[in-house]
Amino acid sequence: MKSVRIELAAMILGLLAMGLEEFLARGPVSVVCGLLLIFVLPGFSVMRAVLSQGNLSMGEQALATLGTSLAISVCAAVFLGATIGLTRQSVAVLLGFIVIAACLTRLIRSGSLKRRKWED
Amino acid sequence: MDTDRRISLIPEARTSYRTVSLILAVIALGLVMVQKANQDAFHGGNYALNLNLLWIGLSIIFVPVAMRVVMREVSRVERLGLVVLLGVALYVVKIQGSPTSFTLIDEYIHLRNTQNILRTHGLFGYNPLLPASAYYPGLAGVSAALVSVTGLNTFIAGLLVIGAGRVLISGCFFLVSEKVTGSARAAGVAGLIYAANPMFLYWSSSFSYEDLGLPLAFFVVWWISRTRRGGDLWAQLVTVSALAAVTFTHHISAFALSLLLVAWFAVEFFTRKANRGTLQVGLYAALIGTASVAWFLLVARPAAAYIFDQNVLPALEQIKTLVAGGRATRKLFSGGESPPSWYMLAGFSALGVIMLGFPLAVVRGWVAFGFRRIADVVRERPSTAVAVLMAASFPFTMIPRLTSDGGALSSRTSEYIYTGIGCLLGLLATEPRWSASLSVGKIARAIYSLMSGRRGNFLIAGMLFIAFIGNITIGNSYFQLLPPPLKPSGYPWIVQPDVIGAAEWAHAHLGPYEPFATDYTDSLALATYGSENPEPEEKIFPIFFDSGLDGATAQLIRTAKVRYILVDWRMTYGLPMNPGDYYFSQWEPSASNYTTPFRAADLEKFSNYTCSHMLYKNGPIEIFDVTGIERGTCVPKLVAATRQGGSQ
Repeated sequence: MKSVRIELAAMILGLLAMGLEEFLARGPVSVVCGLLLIFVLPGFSVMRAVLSQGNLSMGEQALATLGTSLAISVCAAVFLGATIGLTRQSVAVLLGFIVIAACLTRLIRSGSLKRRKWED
Repeated sequence: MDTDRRISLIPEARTSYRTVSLILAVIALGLVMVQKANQDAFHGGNYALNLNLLWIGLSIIFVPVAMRVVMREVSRVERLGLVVLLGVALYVVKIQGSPTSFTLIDEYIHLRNTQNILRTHGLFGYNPLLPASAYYPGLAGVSAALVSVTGLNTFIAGLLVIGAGRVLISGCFFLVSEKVTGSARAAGVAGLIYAANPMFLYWSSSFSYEDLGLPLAFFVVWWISRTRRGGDLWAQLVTVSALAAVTFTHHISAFALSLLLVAWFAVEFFTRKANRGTLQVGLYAALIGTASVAWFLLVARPAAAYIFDQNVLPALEQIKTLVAGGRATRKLFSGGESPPSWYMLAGFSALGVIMLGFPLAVVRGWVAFGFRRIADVVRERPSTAVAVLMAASFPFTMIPRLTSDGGALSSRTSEYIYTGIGCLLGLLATEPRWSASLSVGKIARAIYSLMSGRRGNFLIAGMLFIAFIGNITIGNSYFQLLPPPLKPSGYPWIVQPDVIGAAEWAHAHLGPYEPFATDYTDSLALATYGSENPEPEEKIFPIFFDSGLDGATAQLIRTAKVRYILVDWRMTYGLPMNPGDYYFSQWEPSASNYTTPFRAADLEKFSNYTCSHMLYKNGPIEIFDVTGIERGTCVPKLVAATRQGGSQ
């Protein structure tokens, strides 16, 4: 149940991010949402889709979240710049979509996700 | 990497939050001292005194972390946290030196790329400062994305992106070196060695594409080692996206990553039976190798000329001459006047300590792992063997520093070579995991004992400290460790506020993207704050090295299509202080050999000839319109000659 709450919270933040352009005027809230969108949410939601709990230590999870978020944000920025244009709206929609997709994947898989121990 | 011979875990110590809090407080004190040094320097205080304060502040930041990390009864989490904390603290030191705007040359280059993306919403916009950089849009793209969604300015956004990269590189290198050395304590030492590399303090903290590309590459290496055996499709997608991000961000990082993955695959493939994990590494090596070369050749075509024609080939040519018995073409520790003797001595001491550490670390590691033959190393710890090979190339990377074209190349290899050096010297802190009798010679046993116990802790921490301080002197000019005063007396090495004002005036009154001719430092402001297109300095510098505006100078203005000239009279106040010692280009007549400032007569011509109209003047900064000369509609004549001719 706790896991579902986390996914739902991330999805709400993702939806909020997608509505950044429409609903959020530039200000402190916009700054916080934007920082989460670039540095945290994509990596956090993808990590939860990748892993079962307990495979990585907290420090490793934090680094994995940051690294994955940066990688996804770089790829998203390059993709948008080369295609439809990099704007506030396009960045927010694409990254928000990735967050929501990863959360949905986690929710779908959580029933069949077995605890895996990767060998070190 | 994770198939290295298993080593049983030693009991995990508990994290001491009280100790970490104390270290945090001491680091804060160090940062306060650094802040005081920077502020005093900015307000014209005594440079040497403030530099001493800076050294004390840096020592206070580094030493407690080093002492704690080399201790035995420290938890893995605490070591990781301290290494990351040190990386962040040193990043804050860089910000303290330039808290309101970018100051390093490469930062302006990538600022222009970011501005282009924000303006056009697309990629590959023309960058007059370094055209090739626009074809690696990873850093500029993510920074522009951050600006777009948060509304922060580009400076703050750039600081945050590079700050995130700093956290990533410090943490991931610890985790990777832990696998290479088999020990969290050794990984801590490796992390400190990496933080002591000559470029870590300032260059690796700058808003530059390498300082995002390299952290992403470190992340890839760690992530592959962590997930290649049991990872699912999503884990592989993360790997692929990270590989793509490195490809889009920095050429050399992508090439280095592909070489490392190839070496990793080859060592495992030829020393043991290939398994699924080995084949995955091979697949990723092929992927990044293909992608990086394809991007380099098909998309980033100007990058080839920049890397090979402007950097690698000239450096190799000079190295060949040097090796064949020629003279060194570069003065060590250049950048203005000669630094004090102790500054250079510290640099050589760092080199000496690192080289001395190599055999000690090899012996320590050999004894700790119980090797009998070299083949054991390759078979049982292939990643360690790769690290040793990387470290062994270190002396050869120093040779290009003796050449004018190889100095920058040698400096930048530090960020790559020190990964191997860190892992090798980390072996100084390895411990044997089993109680097998140490059947080694007396010398090896003596070296092993030397590095053991509390004495070993002090020795290792001392070596780290000498390397840290000495490498800062190697990587940075003596006169550029602190910001110049608000009103510099000579020719400043960073962009000044009045030049920024002139650039903004030009943008507002002349429009963007106008071709300018100016000195190198001021071209940075014109290209970013003014969005103008300063012409390459190696092309236009002859315009300034002539007392007349007619003849060859006018012809050059026409062929280079220069419409405006920005004159900075501070060139006549003092000698150039940038590494390479030039005002415009390393190819200008007196580059590296200036004994007197720039000739005032050569700048007076812009006021003394027709067809050159002053549009702007603010103190030492003047902007002239030479559009008539550029279009060929006006033939410049000396004003005195014109008056004389008219009176007749």
